[in-house]
Amino acid sequence: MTTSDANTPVELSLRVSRFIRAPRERVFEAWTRPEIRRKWWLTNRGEGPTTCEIDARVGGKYLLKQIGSGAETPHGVDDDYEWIIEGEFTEFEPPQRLVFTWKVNHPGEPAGDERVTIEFDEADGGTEVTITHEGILSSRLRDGTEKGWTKLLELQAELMEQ
Amino acid sequence: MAGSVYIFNQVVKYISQLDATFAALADPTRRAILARLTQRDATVTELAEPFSVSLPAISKHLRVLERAGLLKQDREGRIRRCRLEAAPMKAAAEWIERYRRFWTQQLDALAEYFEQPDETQTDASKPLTQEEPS
Repeated sequence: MTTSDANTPVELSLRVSRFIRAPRERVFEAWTRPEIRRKWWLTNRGEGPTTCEIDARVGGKYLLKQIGSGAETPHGVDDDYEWIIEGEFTEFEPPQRLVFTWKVNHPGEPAGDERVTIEFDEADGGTEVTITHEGILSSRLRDGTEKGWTKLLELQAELMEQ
Repeated sequence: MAGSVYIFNQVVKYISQLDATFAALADPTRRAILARLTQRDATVTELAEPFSVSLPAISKHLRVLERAGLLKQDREGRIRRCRLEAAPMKAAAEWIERYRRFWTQQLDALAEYFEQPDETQTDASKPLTQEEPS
């Protein structure tokens, strides 16, 4: 990096929302109770997870395992890759908010420092669920380049708004 | 096994390209130049206009961006015209896009689950025994 930059890095994140036609309490539980979670949680083979353990409390851990296509690079695919998604709950506020760390065994990728926040808001006739996923790119970087990533994301956001 | 080494090398190559991209982006002037080029191509003079820096300074920024593969300069006689080269940014955007698809599909699956007419859903008011993971 040739030029200094005093700007504070902007932490950009991915955010998606969806209206769910069900009461907030039930939608919240669909995420935190394993027996419900495994009924809807999508795997890329449509088979459901092979393992679904959720210890839903602050400090509690979760573990999801699922078999699927490991198409994580444009150059190679492993059709029977065992995906392991795991993390720890850092916030647990039924029925409105859930925050957990997010670690996935992406092939050829270092484990990251990612975080997922799920907000459950009451909406007319149901619940608005908003997922915010932070650290997707920064976790894929070596030390010292994180700022560059966030800057890129910032630019990316500008591009997408065009 | 050979396949996984190949994938590993591809990932390393991919990450190295991204490093160059981000180094080039660690400067507000260069980011502003790129943001401007998302609107339309521009000459070097046009790009220099909003900044209180000299043409040679702008040219230097343009070279950094060009080396990072973010920008291309075409010569039209004595005029240099710049355009955005989107491929490296696309590579980074793919990570984001992959997760956007992932979460969108999960939310669709969740919505579908709650919209099933038959109550295969678990009644949340009843305590349940936890299934053992297979």
